[in-house]
Amino acid sequence: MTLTEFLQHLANGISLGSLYALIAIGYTMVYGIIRLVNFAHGDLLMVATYMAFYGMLLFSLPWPLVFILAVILTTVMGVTIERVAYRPLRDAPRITVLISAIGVSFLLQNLGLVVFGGRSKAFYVPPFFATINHIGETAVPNLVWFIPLVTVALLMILMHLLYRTRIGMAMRAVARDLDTARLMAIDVDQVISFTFVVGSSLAAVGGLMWGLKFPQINPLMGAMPGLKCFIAAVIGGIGNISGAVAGGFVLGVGEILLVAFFPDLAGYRDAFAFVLLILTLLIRPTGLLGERVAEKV
Amino acid sequence: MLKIRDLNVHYGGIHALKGINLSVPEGRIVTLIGANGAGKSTTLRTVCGLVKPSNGEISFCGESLVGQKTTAIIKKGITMVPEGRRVFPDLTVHENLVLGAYARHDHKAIEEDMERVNTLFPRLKERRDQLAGTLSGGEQQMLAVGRALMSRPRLLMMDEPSLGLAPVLVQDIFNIIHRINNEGMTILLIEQNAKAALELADYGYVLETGCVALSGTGQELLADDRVRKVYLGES
Repeated sequence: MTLTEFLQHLANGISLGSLYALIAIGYTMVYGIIRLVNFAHGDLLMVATYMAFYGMLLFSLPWPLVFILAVILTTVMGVTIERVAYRPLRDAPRITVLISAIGVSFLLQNLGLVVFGGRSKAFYVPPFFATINHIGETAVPNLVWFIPLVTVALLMILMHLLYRTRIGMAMRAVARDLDTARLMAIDVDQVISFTFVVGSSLAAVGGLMWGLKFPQINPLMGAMPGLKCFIAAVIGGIGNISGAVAGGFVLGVGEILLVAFFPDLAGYRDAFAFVLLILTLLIRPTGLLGERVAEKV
Repeated sequence: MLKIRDLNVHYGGIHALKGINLSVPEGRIVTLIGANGAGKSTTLRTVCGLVKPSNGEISFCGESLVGQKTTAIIKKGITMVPEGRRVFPDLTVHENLVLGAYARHDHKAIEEDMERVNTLFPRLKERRDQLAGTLSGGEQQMLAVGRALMSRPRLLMMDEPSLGLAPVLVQDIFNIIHRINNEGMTILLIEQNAKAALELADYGYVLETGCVALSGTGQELLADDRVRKVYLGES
């Protein structure tokens, strides 16, 4: 492998990794605040791409506007899911809420099959993203650098939100100790809703970029990225935002480089994530940046 | 100020409070003493709305609190220093205090209260930007009290503030409770340290397995034979 080829693969890996990271943040934030693995998170990717698809097809709106609308509508959907499927179970055992989340995921997938049809559709990729730039010998389509740029920008906004605003402080308090947060007169339901706003909008942005990267969309498209990004969150240490980002990059870069160095293993690309998950759980169950959580007595 | 009438609470199949009656007059210190599991913490948590009562009545300044959300109850001027301090360990000391005033929007008054807490607990000022989890137990307790004061409460409830502290710090905490009370705060205090609590309190209730077994002024209870035997360890 030449250096050029390696750089090419590395660029692709970073690009994919930052996409995983973006989606993994949503998993980790929701888990951090209500200890729920939101299985419907991956399906929000699908919802966002279909909204964008139909927005462009049926209403012929310009793509930037369509993307913004798709993010807003998907966010509304994510918050509604919390309202309808998780909030009524706030005091129920955790496993009950988890089953509810799996139910929502199935519902979205099958609703997608009924409403959108099972056949894959071609997602429109605006010419801007397909334009190829040459950096030295390395050919990089705009999309490849655009994805990490968006991820970094959103991450900076997120950090500002969490560490410099009132609601961010409330989110950190709720994540740590629900009852004591209530004693601070924090409206816990409101904070949880807001967490879903953040998580769902990140999932929507991630979904749109996923559509641009792999422009074949179908109602089950959210399942595999959903699983992989959940794995990324676990590898990084679930509940920890920096961990989710680290996990996303490890998974994305690892996956691309594995295929690059061992082309024979290309068919096992998706299995790589699961192998990494099993290794993480065996060697370091708390994840890369996860802290040991002592159960309070 | 706070009146509890015939309060019953069931807690995961256990009848934790069996018809409790108690009242906390304005400006006084009232203490609840009793063994572990007698229902002291449950009483406080029910007043805050963290636990839902099965029946009974809780009123604060004439307003019923039963069925209200914790947020609404705190906004009426009640606050609690929870058992085990429960500061937010990965937030800074300053952030913990700011959270105490989360429901308030009167920025000027919040600044004043921040000053007041800093005067009351100079150590907190020194450690303003440190993570609360790195503080010592005593400092965390001061932070928990300071944080509670930041909501500018009219009734301050404290659940075992001396738990796990060195004797010299226990004395500090009691001095502070005394001082806050002198400034006009009404206090409802739970304590394991029955002697210190009764010496400080205007009125006391002894809880046994979910019932009020005895009540009286602090002095009366200190002089009571049963209290002396069971709770003060005298023979």
